Amino acid sequence: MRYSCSHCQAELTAYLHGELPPRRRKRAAQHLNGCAACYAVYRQMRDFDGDLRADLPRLGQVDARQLNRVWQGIQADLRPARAVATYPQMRLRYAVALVALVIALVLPYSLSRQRVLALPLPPTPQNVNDPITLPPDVVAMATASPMNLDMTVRTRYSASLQPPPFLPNDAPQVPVTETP
Amino acid sequence: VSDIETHTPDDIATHIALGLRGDQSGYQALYEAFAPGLYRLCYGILLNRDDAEDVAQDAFVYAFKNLRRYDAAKASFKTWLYTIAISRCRNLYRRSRPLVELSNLWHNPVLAPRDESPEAAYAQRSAQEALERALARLKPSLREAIVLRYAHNLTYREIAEVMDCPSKTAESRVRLAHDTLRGLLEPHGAGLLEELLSY
Repeated sequence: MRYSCSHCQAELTAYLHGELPPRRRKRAAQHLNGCAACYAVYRQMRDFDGDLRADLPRLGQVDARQLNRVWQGIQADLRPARAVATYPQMRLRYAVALVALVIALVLPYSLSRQRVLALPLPPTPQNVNDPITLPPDVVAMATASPMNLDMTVRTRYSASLQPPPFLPNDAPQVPVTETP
Repeated sequence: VSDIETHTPDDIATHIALGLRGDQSGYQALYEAFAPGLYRLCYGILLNRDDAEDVAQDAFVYAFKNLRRYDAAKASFKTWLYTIAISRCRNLYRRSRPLVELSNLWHNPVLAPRDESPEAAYAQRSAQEALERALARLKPSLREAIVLRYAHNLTYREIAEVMDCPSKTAESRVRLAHDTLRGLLEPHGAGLLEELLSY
């Protein structure tokens, strides 16, 4: 492949920086020896390269005052990290956190337990299908006379518990409420 | 503050070992060895002194806190530190802030030797301002590549490691940045920079 001028000029920066492999470096040097145009470009680039080498390292020169300021900042940033790493302080923090966790877990349980004990027990539910136990005199009355057979035991029982009020004959009639 | 050139790789390894044991003198020695270079890198990329200080501080804090993650077999400490700093610079200029404040350029202190004449100091400052303006017009990736190459003398392979790209990409970025800077600086008059610098 023919080594053209554009090829040579594309490699000039790497040539100046000593970054070309030996074979390519030799080929570029041979071309520069025989090509006046490329050699002129090379000289311009070499001069500019020298300017950059001289000038760029001067950018951002730092003085001792600036360096001290940055160092103070670094130390300030590093200090909290060292404090956290101290073992006794870490142990104390873990202990406090553990106590807080235990309290947070136990306290609601113990409070709710006290409240349950203080409350009255709920009533025992009764079976509504159980037969009503009647006083023995009511049972005897209901079973003694055949005339009373058409009356329900419940009615007689209610009547025996709540006798109707005494009313004179001329008193206004009060509607009798039906017993359940 | 000592320079990195005075620290051998063995010295650096010793400082790292001290730092890993939590010894402050290890951190301090690493800082003294690498801080000037790291600050120059950050300034060359960000072109702002306050930002460069913030990023340098942030990079050192991260490096010291994560010193156990550093693997000497994979990269030099300098490369590792520069990778951290470049990553933080990228985070900063992604926030779409104007890169160069012109007022900042005029108030930059000139670090010229005391025996230089005022004219020479002025010429030096003018040249540096022109260079900073030209750098500010480069794409960030090109600026990173050219600063790493010329201000820190990194090889293409090291540039590729720091920028997390293939070596060929690093090479083409350096070449493109070089050509772009030449195009930006030479229209001011052929050899203006040279003339200013040769004052």
